[in-house]
Amino acid sequence: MRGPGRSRASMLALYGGLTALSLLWLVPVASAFMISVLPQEQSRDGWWSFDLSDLTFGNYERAWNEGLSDYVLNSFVITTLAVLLTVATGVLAAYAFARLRFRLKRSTYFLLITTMIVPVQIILIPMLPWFKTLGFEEGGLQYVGIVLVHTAFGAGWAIFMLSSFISEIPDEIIDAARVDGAGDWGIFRRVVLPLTVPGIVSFAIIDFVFVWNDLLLALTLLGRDYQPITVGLANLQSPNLAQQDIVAAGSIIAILPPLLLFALLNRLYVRGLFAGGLKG
Amino acid sequence: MRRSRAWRWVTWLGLGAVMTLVVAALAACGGDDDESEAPATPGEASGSLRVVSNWTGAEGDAFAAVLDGFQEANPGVEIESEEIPFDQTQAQLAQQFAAGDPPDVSVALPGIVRQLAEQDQLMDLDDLWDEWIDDGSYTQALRDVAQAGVEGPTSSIYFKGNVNALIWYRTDELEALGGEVPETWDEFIDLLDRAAEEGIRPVAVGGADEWPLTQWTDSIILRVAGADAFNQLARGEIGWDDPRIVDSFEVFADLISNYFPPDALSASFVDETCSWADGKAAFTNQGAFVNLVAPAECDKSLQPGRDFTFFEMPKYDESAPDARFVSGDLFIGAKESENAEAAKALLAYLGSAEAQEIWAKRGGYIAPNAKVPPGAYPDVNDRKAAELWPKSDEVEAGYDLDDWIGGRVQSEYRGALQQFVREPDVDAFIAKMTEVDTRSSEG
Amino acid sequence: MTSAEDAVAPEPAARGRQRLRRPGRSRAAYAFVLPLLAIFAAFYAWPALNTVLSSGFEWGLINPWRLTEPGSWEFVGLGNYSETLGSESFWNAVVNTTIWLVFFPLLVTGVSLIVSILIWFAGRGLAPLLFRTAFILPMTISLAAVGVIWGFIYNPDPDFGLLNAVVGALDLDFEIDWGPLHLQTGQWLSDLGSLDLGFTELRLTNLSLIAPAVWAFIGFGVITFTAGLTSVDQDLIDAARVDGARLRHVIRYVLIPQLRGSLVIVAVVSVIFALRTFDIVYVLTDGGPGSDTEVLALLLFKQAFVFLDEPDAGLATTVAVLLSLVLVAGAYPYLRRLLEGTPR
Repeated sequence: MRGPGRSRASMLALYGGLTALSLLWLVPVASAFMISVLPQEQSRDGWWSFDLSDLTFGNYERAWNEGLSDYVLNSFVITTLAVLLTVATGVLAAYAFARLRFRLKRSTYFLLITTMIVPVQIILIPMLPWFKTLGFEEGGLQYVGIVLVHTAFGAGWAIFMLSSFISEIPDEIIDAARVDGAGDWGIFRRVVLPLTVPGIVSFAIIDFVFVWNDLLLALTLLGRDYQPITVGLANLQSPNLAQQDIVAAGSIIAILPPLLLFALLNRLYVRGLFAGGLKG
Repeated sequence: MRRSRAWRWVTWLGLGAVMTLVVAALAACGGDDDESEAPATPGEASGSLRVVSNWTGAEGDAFAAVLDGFQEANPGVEIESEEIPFDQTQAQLAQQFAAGDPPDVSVALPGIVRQLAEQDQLMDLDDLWDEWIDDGSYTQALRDVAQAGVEGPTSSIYFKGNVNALIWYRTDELEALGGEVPETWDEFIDLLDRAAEEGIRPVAVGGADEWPLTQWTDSIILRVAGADAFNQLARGEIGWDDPRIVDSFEVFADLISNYFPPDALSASFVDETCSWADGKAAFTNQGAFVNLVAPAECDKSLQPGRDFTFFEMPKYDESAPDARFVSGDLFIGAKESENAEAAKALLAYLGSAEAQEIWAKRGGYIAPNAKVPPGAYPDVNDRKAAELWPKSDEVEAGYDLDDWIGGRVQSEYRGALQQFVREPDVDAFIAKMTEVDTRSSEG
Repeated sequence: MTSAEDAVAPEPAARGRQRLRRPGRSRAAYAFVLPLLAIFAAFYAWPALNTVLSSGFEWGLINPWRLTEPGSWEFVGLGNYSETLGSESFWNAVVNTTIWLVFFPLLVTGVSLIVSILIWFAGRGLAPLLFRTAFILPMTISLAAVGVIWGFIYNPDPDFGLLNAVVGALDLDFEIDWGPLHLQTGQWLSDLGSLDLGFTELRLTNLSLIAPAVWAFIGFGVITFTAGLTSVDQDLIDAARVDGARLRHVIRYVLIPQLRGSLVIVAVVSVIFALRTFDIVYVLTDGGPGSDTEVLALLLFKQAFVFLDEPDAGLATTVAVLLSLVLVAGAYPYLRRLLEGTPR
């Protein structure tokens, strides 16, 4: 029989199936979370048979005191600086690419866009000697070094996304400013920049997630005291004394900042990726 | 122009930051790496030192206590201590030396010592060793380990000793299996058989972490082929196709086929130790450090000596001499250290009985310096293990084979061992290793 | 092609007007582009050039080869390339990377396509939003953390690893041998089985590493497909709900054509991702057991940064160059599509 009955049944099946699948998708994170809030002895005995009274945040405290706090701080420093620099340089260049005409525009655009495809390995190996030449190998200057590398590698995405946002601005607005006598700089500062803020935020979130989650660059370029949380996690995994309760707590800590950002600015994040998706 | 003054500020600030960075980068291009050869400040130990080690948790606290001892004696020195994971020591040291910012003092293994010494990166420590050999603190054999087979000066000190080929058991488990500590290889095999009959896994193996497999191979090579062949193999004087080595792997192949658990390659070291400590496996073949790890990581109620202890893996051939399987951690000083004086003073201290006694008292540690008194060790298991430490050159011993070799060969060896555990094909394994380790055919 | 795309790209008419008003090149443009280009040149172009040139030398990282003093190490011409192309470990890594290259894009595209269409059928409202969020969420997790988290799931101890606990409780464990195929449960990260192709044997353990990557990457597909579906008339949903035949019709003739562009994007981006894969392998198996799961990016890392004893950095840069060439060649059509968009 066709009709509403069948429709209701199929809707029920659809919602049921999707609910089950969504829950299944969350199982890995949930299990890491459970291991992180149970004493090691309990989780080694089947964390799924836990006792509510066993729940503890002691693992987090230990993880935090075993150096995770430093890793998290490093992650914030690197990520914030890298996102700021990428956005600042990116939005300037994106304006030029979207709205101005200049020599070699197409070829520079092409070169910048390649960073979206070429793997980071292409620069990885000579980077250490290069840092040494530049004097970036010691102390806090390591931050500067890796921030600049992240900026170079974010260049493609930045140009690609931001110039697509900037070209969305109606020509009339820009023409009006030009008629008022504004130069390129004035137009950028007073018209383009304010109107691109949502796009900038979208890009900043994506770049934040990207930089925060980097392992390879940090692993190879930074000394122990300057490494971010991703390397910290890999370090905790070390086979000699891997303390699974601490590792689990560490993984949850590492997940949280990008996740919170995602939760708060979900729409802008998705919008940014939408734009990327649509353009391609 | 009236519009939003704030925006102007934001823009200028952003631009300013960018320009500063670019200018800084360009300015830095000028200054090449000539400032790295700053001479060490003469005088007593002072200034700051960066020290790299592997220890965390209880072991980290113990090492911190050792460093505190140095700082009390040298209040002018400021120590910045970094921990890097054991399995990444090589990669991270490579990173720091290549970046031109090596730690002043760092933990190392012979393979790493050799590679760095051959590239002229390390401090000459011959005078320390001359003194230690003279006053009987160390044996020549230990100096050979620290020298790592390099022609030229010794460039590391021996800080932390370890004895392996220890078969750890729970006292209640051994009781259930008949209660006898095996004296011979056959008795050992009988015991494993009995465990299998009782329905308990004979051994726990943490092969996912690779190095626990070398605990087995090193023990077996030392027992089947003997210390001479072991050390020749380590130094590339004989090849893997030497019949004594081949025999050793035949023995290992039998053990794998008959007694290794199905998860031998997916379990990690911690999985291995805890499944043994929880009574899911009867034995585990590990170093003395299990005494510290088992209670700390698996079951806090376990008491060393009362609840668990070890016997040495028995000799394969009763007429062969005893051959101890030792390993342990060395420390190196960077030649480029800006504070070479203090770095060397710290290295001298780390090799001293005074420093090593501090950790010995805390347990889970064997002092390589012979002057540390046996009374320093806190429990019976530590004391028993410390007694096995070779204190004179008469005792035959082999130092951890792959830690000695290091580098690519070590990495390939560990991979080949995992393959061997999956498919114990001796011929294929020996062929693979002969191809990977070409030192004996070249030398 | 799509209406959404039209909204983003400026209209031709506007383009013409603009050109009319500002025929000349803007000198200010250089000032706008300069900061980013300077950083790009110093931290991408220059090191990349070093990589390419240094692959002609035999050198090690501790006393590295430098473009400014090229003579300090031996020039070997294409020696590193012939050595790489002749080495067993390189081809082993190629095989494992190929497994990633085949399965990862297929799974990502397939699963996220199905999920997106199902959610699309669920219509608007809170529930579909929550479903979508559940699939997008893992995307924000670093792959290092993804590896750690899945490491718990895969743990062989059935009292700790969830997968083995479930397999044990439901009695699902099996071991099968179908001709060249061997497949078994239990030891997820050390031996999932193998497929003998005659000329080479594929290690299925790679699939255990691909699964977490797919889990994390699905979100990208869901976002992209959802974007592609926004312009489809919602009335079609109701029509399709009522009638199974019409459902097939809608999927076949409306949704799939509408999603063609999105399909290309998801496939290409996941191919790029598969070729670069490093983090998950590094955290979960470090290429083991043996070198069963060693991929190109990991091989290169080990050659440059782990094997201190041999001057292998030249071989590592060689692998980097080969990897980049394959990526750029493979992604060239995609690159061209990206280029068609912006600069005028």
